[in-house]
Amino acid sequence: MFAYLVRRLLLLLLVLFGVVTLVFFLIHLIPGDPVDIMLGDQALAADKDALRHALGLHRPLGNQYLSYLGDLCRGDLGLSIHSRRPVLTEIGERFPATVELMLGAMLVALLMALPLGIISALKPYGWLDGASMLISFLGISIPNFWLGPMLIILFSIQLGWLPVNERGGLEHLILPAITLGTAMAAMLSRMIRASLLEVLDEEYITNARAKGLPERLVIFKHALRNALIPVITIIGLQVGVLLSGAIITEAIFDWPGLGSLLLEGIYSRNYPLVQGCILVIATVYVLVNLLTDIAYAWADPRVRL
Amino acid sequence: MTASEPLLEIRDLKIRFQGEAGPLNILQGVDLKLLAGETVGLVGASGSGKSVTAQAILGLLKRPPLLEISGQILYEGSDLVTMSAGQLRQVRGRRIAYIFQEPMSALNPVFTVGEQIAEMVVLHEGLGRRSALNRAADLFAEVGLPDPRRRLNNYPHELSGGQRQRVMIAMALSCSPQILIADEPTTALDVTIQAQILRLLKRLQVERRMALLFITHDLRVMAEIADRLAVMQAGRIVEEAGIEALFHAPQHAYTRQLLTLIPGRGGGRVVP
Repeated sequence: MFAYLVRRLLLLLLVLFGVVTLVFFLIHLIPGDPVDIMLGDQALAADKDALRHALGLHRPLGNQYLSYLGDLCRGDLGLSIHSRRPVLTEIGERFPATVELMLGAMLVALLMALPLGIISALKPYGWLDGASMLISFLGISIPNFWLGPMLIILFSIQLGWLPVNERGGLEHLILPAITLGTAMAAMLSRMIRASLLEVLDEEYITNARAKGLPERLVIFKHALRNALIPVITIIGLQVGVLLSGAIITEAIFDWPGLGSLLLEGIYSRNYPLVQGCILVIATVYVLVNLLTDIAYAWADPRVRL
Repeated sequence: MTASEPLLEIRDLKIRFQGEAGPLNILQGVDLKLLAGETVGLVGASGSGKSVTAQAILGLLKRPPLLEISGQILYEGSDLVTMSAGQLRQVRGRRIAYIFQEPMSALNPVFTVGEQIAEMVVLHEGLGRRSALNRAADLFAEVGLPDPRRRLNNYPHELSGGQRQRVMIAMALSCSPQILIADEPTTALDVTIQAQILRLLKRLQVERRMALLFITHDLRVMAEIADRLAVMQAGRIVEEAGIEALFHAPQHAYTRQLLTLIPGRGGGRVVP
């Protein structure tokens, strides 16, 4: 177990190195630089050069890359070009909002997917299964950038039940969490259905019935415990989808999270900020996958790390 | 209950399954009696309907493929075919227990074997968890599992094939049933282990005075364990007789054919 963790954490470092390198060079390929955007078209060439020197952007790219890596090794993500505040501070301010949104979305997804998936598997090809399939197809096909505004129009503007945007109490979280969680719910409910159907055909389920156990125990203890094992992996992988979905959802709801910070960074060519955001997102993704594998081993006694 | 009155009686059991090309007649009128304390062997080729008959007793057949079931399965005067789900659960595991062919697939991989036995005892006898686990450990000792206390915390995959089948037997015995149905319980095991499991089943059946319905395609196994044999072919019982009579004077052509299949016998006589 310990050796496994060490191996996985070393792998994490390798992945992060790859991500940092890729992002560093890709972002410099985007036309325009922060100085143009900060000073505008009318600025004098001399002023632009002065600012470039001040920000260290005049140096050769390889040189900038090496010094960025060096700072990174000391845990320094650099300063945001515009605000001149440490990138780590800016990310730290926004990160909790994204985590809140993701947890909310995941809760929405599970609350929708578990009942839908279980009901569908218990009465496959019945009308409830059909209805659940329809809901799932809609959930997967409807893009966040359409669902979000529609929810706002219906629940905030027409009905006036929920606030339009910005972070606040629980009522502020509901619409963004539904927007972000629906696609995941749709996917998960189909997964849970398929997995549970397969498990219900296993002989240990027949045996559980032969032992005289009530259906409640047969389904919720013996079947579901097995059926949810593969679902754990899917949930872990879906965190990546949630993170990228969060960028759009945060923009729609004006949610002050990592996604909207990243977008701001890209618009203003704020190199250190973009690199920092992506580095954090990649780290979260890799760590969640590590946690997923640990959870899998915990849920399935046949798997040892 | 007198010795002549059957403990379990199957009358004209007919079962139809939904097949790909239409309904299939799986059982075409099966009659079978099981007396208290006796061992009846149900023999036949695979697909002859042995397992379907056995699973029908406890209402374990799934719909689909189950399409239609008619006839009676009488246990203590009640018909198991028409019994309510709640009443049937009182019979399952408690009065009539079932041992599956493949213990690896019949045991739930994510629960310890101790838990899988204890949950049954808790449910049927209202014992606390601790006493139920103690019962499981005692049963493990009874079926000859080494180090029974430690076995409680093992998962199925941590045991050998023979050990797993002993766990299945312990599970079946856990609520002291009157009837034990064993569906090819030795088929998935090594030959040496097969003999051990057979002897164990026979010993337990005698000690606990249970009726045993033993299903197999292997007549040799029957010679060692059964009092009576019922031979099945294509959804019917074609011959039913005491073990001596059946081995020495088989009446039905199919039975004679099965007997010639026993290695080293070649159609001659065998001493059961």
